[in-house]
Amino acid sequence: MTIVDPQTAEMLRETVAKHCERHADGALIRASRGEVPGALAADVATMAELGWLAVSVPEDHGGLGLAVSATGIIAEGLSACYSSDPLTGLFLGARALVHAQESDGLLAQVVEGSATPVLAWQENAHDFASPLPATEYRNGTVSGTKRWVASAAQASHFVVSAREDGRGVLVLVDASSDGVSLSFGTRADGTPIGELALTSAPSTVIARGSDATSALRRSLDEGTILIAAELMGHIDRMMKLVLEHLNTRKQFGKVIGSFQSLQHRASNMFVHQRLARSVLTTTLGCADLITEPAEFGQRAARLRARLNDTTQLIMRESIQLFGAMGITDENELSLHIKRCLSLLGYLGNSTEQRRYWTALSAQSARTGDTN
Amino acid sequence: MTYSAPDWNEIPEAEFRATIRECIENECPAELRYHPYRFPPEVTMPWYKALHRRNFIAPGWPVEYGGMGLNPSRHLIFIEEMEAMGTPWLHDAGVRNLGPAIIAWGTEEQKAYYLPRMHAGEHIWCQGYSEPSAGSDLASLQCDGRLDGDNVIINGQKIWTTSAHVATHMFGLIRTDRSGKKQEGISFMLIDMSLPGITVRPIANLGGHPDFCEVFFDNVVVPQSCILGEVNQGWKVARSLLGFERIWAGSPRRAMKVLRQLRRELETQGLLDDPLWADRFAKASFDALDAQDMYTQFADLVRTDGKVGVEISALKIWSTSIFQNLSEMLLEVTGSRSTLSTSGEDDLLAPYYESRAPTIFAGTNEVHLNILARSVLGLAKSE
Repeated sequence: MTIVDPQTAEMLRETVAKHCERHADGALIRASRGEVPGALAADVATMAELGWLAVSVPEDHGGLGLAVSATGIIAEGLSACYSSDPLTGLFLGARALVHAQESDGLLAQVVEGSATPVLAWQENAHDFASPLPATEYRNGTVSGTKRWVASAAQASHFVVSAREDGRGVLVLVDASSDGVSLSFGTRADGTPIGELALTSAPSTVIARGSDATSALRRSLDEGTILIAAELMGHIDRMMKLVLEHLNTRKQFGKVIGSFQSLQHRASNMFVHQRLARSVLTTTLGCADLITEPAEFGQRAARLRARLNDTTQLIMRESIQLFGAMGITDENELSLHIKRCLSLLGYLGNSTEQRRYWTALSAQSARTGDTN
Repeated sequence: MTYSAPDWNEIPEAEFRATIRECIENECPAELRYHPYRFPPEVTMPWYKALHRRNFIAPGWPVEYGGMGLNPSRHLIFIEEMEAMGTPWLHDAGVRNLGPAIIAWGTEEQKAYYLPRMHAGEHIWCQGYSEPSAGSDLASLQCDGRLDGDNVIINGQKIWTTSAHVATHMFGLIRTDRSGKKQEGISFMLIDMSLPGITVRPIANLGGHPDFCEVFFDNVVVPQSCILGEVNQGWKVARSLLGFERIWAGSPRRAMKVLRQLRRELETQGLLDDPLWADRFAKASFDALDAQDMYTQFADLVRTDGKVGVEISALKIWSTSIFQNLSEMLLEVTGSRSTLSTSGEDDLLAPYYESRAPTIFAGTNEVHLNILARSVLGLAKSE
């Protein structure tokens, strides 16, 4: 994997921005709440056509050989559509296959959009530390329940984490197989999140033991970086909305942005926005080159914790600075707030990220020199 | 002599770190290390001289002036190694702050005279900006300089002048014209502190140390050749220096130092495995490590653009705030031990005291919030 070069990065940014200009539709999002598949930033065919699915697939499978450095840019940009769905789920599925070194041609189909494997790993609310799953693989079939399956509505396959004789295993399940039952819950932003019930579903092992656990771990760490990138996009957009409001809303005969108490709140928001941006840029600029798992995990955890905390701050302050308008659904701000609420507790909240980072510090040989 | 230094930015990081460590181990006596306050210059002079001899004293200067030409990330590593091994805090406002300004604005004579002398530690510099009535509103400064033939006659007062009691020279802002806008009548002057008419009165700080001073000028005669840049154009020079100052003030090195101290304390007390302390330590680590990411990016911008944008205020605010937070956490981690006045490496109160000033100097954090609101966020002028 390599880091996306500046020209390609700029091109990606422009493509995503153009796409969002045409497709951002708050009214559609509001109207589609609770529906499956709900409003998407782009459908699978469009994502494939724009090359967004090829980005994270290695070149020898027909992809572009980039990972989070490029997909992060797409996720961030899609925040202008108020959501990056179904990017994250598809990314997680593809990356799990990449890290498990899947070799029977599925990744080539991912590039074209003809196969859409998604990752089904989580069972309980606090699984980010990825304990051994209760889902069990035995003699070619897998049974168990997976929850919070992102992009499940688009899935052609599920990459499922399971246990086999007390060891971790990653298996591939065709979404249309017998024994596969998919239902949906609704997230804060009204979009669906999958619950996958597997009853002796036929499955193929793609990685076993430490190969399986490390492939899963790396995929989750990459996924958490992707979420962080999308959160950054929402932060920037919420800031923009708030600043417009501060510069136009008048009270006591002047624009409220001229009051120093509000200026200091806005400036404080900027300090955090700028900090979060720095950590994101640094991380996207180095992550794909990090091979040491603990170092990668620590980078991802620190980034995600910063983005989570900053997002909460920007959400809270934005609502406050908008006043009563901030607590209406009608305000554009609400679309970002609800999307962020759908993401903050997914793939590791701040406390889980810190716990993970701490565990990796203890593991890491270079304890004094943490990442 | 044919010795030529390696390209410090290109050699492998491990080798670079090893070179710095070797220098510290061989040149910096143990009794100077891990001291929480600044020693008088004569105590640290052998160490300063060693850095001078090895051309390590001005790591950020270009190589042709005796610097190391370090890029920002290497510069951070340099500082990190120095801090990790507890090297003493020097009176180095000259090489750190003034040097880059002389390189940018000085005449050839000024460069030839001042740069080697501050490099060698022969000149020790202090910065004379603030006055009793010109703090946050610095441009309203009144310390008077009357142009008189080839000289400037200075009368007035400076205050909060760090290291003035030990400095041989001051770079100061002097009002040389009162006819136009307040920013337009200021000259940036290089003043020999041994001139007749200068009186220095040290002020004890919260930690009980005389780190800053009041300086009085009574008909002090300074030649006009000591003006850096054009006469009455000192505000421009000072502003360009503020960039370096803000990068410096926004450096997370002090916070990182407290973070290491926190880690040692938690380790010694066996608290790193306590989930509550582990979580707080992780949070503190993120605050400081994230500040490092931010610092490196701003420093990179300075290096590639050659200028510091107004956004740098965000870095200054963040780094100085977390320095305070970490120093307060250190008091908490150490329980009742934190109530005792001690000295040396065990001085738990030193970081607390030391972290109070940075949110005030180099522009109070509130001034920086104003700058961000106006210049970055585009909010209307407040009344």
